[in-house]
Amino acid sequence: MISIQGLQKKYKDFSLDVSMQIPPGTVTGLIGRNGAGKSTTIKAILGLIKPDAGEVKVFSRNPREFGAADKEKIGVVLPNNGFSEELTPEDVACILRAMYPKFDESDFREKCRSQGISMKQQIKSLSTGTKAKLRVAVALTHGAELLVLDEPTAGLDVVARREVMDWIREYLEKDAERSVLISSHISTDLEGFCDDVYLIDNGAIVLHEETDTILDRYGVLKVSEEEFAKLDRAYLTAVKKEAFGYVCLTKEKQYFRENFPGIAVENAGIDSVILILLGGQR
Amino acid sequence: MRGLLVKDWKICKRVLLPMLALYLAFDAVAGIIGTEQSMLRDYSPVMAAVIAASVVGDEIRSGYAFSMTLPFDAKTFVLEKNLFFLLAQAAAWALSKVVMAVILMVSGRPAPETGEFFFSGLWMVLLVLIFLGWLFAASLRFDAERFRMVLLGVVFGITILGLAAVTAVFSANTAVAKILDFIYKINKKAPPSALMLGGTGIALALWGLSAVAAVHAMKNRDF
Repeated sequence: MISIQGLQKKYKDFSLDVSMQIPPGTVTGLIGRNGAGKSTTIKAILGLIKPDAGEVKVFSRNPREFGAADKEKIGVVLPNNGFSEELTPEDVACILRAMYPKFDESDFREKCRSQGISMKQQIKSLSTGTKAKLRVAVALTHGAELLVLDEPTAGLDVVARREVMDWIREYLEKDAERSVLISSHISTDLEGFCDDVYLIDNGAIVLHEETDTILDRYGVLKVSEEEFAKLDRAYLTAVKKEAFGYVCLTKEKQYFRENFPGIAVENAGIDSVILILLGGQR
Repeated sequence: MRGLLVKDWKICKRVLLPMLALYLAFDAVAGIIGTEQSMLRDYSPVMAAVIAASVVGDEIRSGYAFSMTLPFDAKTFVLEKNLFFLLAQAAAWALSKVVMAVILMVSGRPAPETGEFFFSGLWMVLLVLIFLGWLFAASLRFDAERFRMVLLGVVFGITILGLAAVTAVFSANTAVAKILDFIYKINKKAPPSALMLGGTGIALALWGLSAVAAVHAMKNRDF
């Protein structure tokens, strides 16, 4: 559904160089620190920026050449960017009805109602979290085949985050071919949700794994300097120096459990993968 | 295109009522004190321009990036905005004619000829359309911060040019004075219909060029 080959974009103090594949029917997470290149990648996918080199294909087409019919198939959430804040959700419903032939107005109204979003209140008077929920409701209710969500849960509390993620799950259940690309700095949102994860840092993809692989095979070893000296480095993905010794990330936790019974090997989550990969030595 | 028009209409509705109230209050006062009709006539396109510009300003504040993900191509996006400007001008022009007719009837002042009544002041509508077209193109070309600087520069430039023209008229035989004199002579010699057609043609060409520039800016800018 999305194919990125050698996408390059250079700015004064930042350059992006990434390749990604997002097949139909998958949920892909894009994680990384602020300024790592998540939003630039998403903008390239949406055709909002002109790549300096490389190729971006969405639905097998260059998104810079998209027409109305192509754009109708994509639901978008961009941070701090949406319909005018002078409008009300009622106005937004009216606009979506005129713009998208597949707009599901009853679903939109139900989503607003369930989140306590007043249809008559101007968007500018809504809280940050409510605005974020409204942006997601817009993206989900016009029959898109692909969702591109840049930080959709930013500003939401735990309960609202869960509800928004449930909306996205419902959206996916309606059609097995639907795909989602979601960027978030809240890794717990992505852990139980994404089929695979891309970790981006300094404009480059530093890790691409299926979420199940991360949860099943990746482990974290906390070892002293003496223990670290005895470890088989070939099986270590990243190492981070700590006060007590080293924290090591491995993709072969079973190997260490079987061969180093004296060392505690914890299961790795996306958080620990990010912390060690980005904070340590690869 | 309908969706974009609905969007712009919904946004402009928020400022429409206060602007309309201000316009009618101005007309009422102007009618009572017997202000020049040309002032009433030319005020309406300016009012409509302010409303239309507020929609563009609102779009800049909300971020163009999201607008560019809506289901429209660059040409449709630019055409719609210019159509919206045109509709706003047409509505303001029609409203000004109604108001002027009411003022003429109530005050009992002599009515102008039908042609003059309906077509006088169209030059102002054209000027405003050119201004809005280029304003929109510039808003697409530059990011919000640079757009404000460009706008400031243009306003400053126009003011300086205006002052230079005024100074030239009242002073020496400068180049500006010669240009103004040349335009005056053409104006005097040429038949009014030819002048009107020529002026309208130039205005429409400038307006059309602004649309081409806007599409080009939209296709080449990073949002």
